Amino acid sequence: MREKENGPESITELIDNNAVVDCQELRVQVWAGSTPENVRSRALLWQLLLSCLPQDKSLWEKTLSEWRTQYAEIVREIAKHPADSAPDGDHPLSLKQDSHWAHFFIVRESEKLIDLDVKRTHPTSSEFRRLEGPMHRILLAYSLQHQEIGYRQGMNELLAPLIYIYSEVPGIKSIDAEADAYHSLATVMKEMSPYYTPSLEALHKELDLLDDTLRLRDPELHRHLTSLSIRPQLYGTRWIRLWLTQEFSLQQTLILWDSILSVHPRMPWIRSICSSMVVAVRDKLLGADFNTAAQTLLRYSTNNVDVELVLKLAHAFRTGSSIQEIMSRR
Amino acid sequence: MARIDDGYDYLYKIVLVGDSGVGKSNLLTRFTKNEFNYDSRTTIGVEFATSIIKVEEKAIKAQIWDTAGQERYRAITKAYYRGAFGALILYDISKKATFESVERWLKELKENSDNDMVIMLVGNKSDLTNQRQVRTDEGKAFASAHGLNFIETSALDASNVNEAFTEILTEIYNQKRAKPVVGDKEQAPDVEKVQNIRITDPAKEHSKKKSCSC
Repeated sequence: MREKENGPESITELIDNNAVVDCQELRVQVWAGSTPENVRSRALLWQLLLSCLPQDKSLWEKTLSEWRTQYAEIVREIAKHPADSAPDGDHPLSLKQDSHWAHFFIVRESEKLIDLDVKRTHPTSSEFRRLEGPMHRILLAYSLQHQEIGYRQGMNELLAPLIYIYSEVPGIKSIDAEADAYHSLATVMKEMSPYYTPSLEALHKELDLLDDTLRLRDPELHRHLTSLSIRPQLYGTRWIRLWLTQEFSLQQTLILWDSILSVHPRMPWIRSICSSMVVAVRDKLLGADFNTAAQTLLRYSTNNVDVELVLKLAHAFRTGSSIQEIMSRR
Repeated sequence: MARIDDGYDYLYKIVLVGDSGVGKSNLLTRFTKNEFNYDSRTTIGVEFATSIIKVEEKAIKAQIWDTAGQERYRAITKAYYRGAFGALILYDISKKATFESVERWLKELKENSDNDMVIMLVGNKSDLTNQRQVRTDEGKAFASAHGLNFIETSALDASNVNEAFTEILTEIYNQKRAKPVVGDKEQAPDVEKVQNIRITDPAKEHSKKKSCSC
């Protein structure tokens, strides 16, 4: 970690006071524990870390307007009814690949599932009820633009923090927030799509690595869980696919995402965080039977673990500090 | 027979399957906690809960696994069928399409489970009488044509939920009662099978079983 001459700079200052934003410096600050001071800074931080926004701020306007126009075009396409757009010879029973009608029916199918899941995204939050329309359009647009992946359950959860933050930025038009969230989701999915494929190969590999990580970090805990046949294959699928959005409150998730987005390569870092989550509840797990231990991990949010502790443990793992040291300092 | 609170004579694993949104998670929480959650989130991966019921003075512990409904995730849930003694295939009586999927779920179960698995067809959301799209006799006819038990439930108003689980557990009990309880540890063999989600390498799986603590 780099030493700063004049104390840590805030995320907002780093973004606002420079014509070219130093993303490396942003990463360093987040790593050192800085969190964005307001929702606007967080929205910009995330888009910079995802490389959705270039570091050179003079290019922002052009970049933003380009993809916002592009998104508007995608949404217009979706809204078209085949009765109006289909060429002569195309009809509702067409089996042709490029049939507007065939396409229309595929869309209808995805829409049902998207509709179901959008309603089940942060179901107790009134903000998310207002975001149902934008979320629905974004997920549908994504599934149509990426037909090799389509819509997979869980993508709604990856979209949630993005649309929530972007649409809270003071003064932003809701259609612009929607376009920005679409763009960020597509960027996140570039990394995450292997974990959403039916083959499960990448996911299983990742879960095996998580198992190795846990064995290395806390052999006693790993031994106990293994003796109960509780492996990451049981509880880790959701953790990895959703970047932990269902394991913490939304506010805690945002802090976690600052960190997840700032570290490269990302997967080893997520693995460190996941293993730290297990370690954070080790007292509950050690001595527990299958039922208690499995439920502790499968319903992780009910443990009310502080995300700061998890991040401290994850950092300690990276720097080689002992678990006991962090846990006793609490 | 003297028992501690969590004691049981038999442990049966049951799986819940069916299209997304038919109410699998709520059926489970209604049975195990007598709760209905209007705000349930999409199930990703799996969850489970347990409950103990009495059948002929025997305590039966049901370990019920709740799986993700999306078709594309079926590959991950397949492994969970293994070792299950029973399965509930759910559909939503107010959504015809979920009933039309039952045949595929049945095929999936039969391809991935033991032959003697007890399967029950469950038409859930029976409280939605005004929106009904699947008649009771259609459900019944499908069930009898395929040799399945049948019941209509409502996780929301709790009707027939206990009955559904009691019926399937009793039937499993009648089928299995010759076999004694495997031990007092819950990670006993059938659960061990549950955990072996990634069963691609038979040799590896064999060695796993040998090293099992039970």
